[in-house]
Amino acid sequence: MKKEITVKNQVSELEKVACFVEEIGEELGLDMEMQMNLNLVMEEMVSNVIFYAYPEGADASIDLTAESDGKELTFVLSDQGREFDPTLKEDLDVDVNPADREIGGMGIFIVKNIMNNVTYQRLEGRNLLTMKKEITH
Amino acid sequence: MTQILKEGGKTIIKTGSRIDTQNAAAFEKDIEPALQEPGMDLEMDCTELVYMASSGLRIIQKTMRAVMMKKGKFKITNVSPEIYKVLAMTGFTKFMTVEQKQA
Repeated sequence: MKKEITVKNQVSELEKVACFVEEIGEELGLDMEMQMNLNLVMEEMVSNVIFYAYPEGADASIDLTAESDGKELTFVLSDQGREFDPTLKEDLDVDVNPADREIGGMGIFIVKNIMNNVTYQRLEGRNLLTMKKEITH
Repeated sequence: MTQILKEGGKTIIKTGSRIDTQNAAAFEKDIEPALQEPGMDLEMDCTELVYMASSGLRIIQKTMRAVMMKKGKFKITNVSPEIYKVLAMTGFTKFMTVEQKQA
């Protein structure tokens, strides 16, 4: 299975991303928890691009592909925004009370926890974020 | 839709079905009045909640801070098992009361 979607860098486009992930979940017969987790991962990473990759007011597009070989589901998120490697963000210290931690910074941590593998590449002026998840039934 | 209920000295925040990137700001505004009261005793009732993104976790983080400053109480109740896992993963369940939904 291979699917792709292109969305604009607008928050309202997150609904399209959610539909895209739901279609994939249905096609692959993923359970509710996996479905929710993948929705969460894509929302976190796509919204990150929407909020931070481009100057305010700039129109741009964001590409997301999903590919499954039956055992592993691979998402590749790609944009032409400023170079940004989210995998470099320091992990949360979950032994510190959230009230005493810096506010936020949880999105990429959740993504790294849910997915089995998250890697970043800067290639020909694009940010490419590859996220893999095992989908054994 | 967020609902704020008063029960005795307690304030119960009943969440809608989603707290996500698109509606988190509205949710934060909805609960703002509940964070102004002295000696607050807050319960965030997640019976309806099926999905929460990190934008929702940020609001919980801020609420914890506000409650701590006022030496109030704050707990989260009726959380689905899937959302509980996200709250555990990000270190919330260690530092506040989070009760799961009864099956």
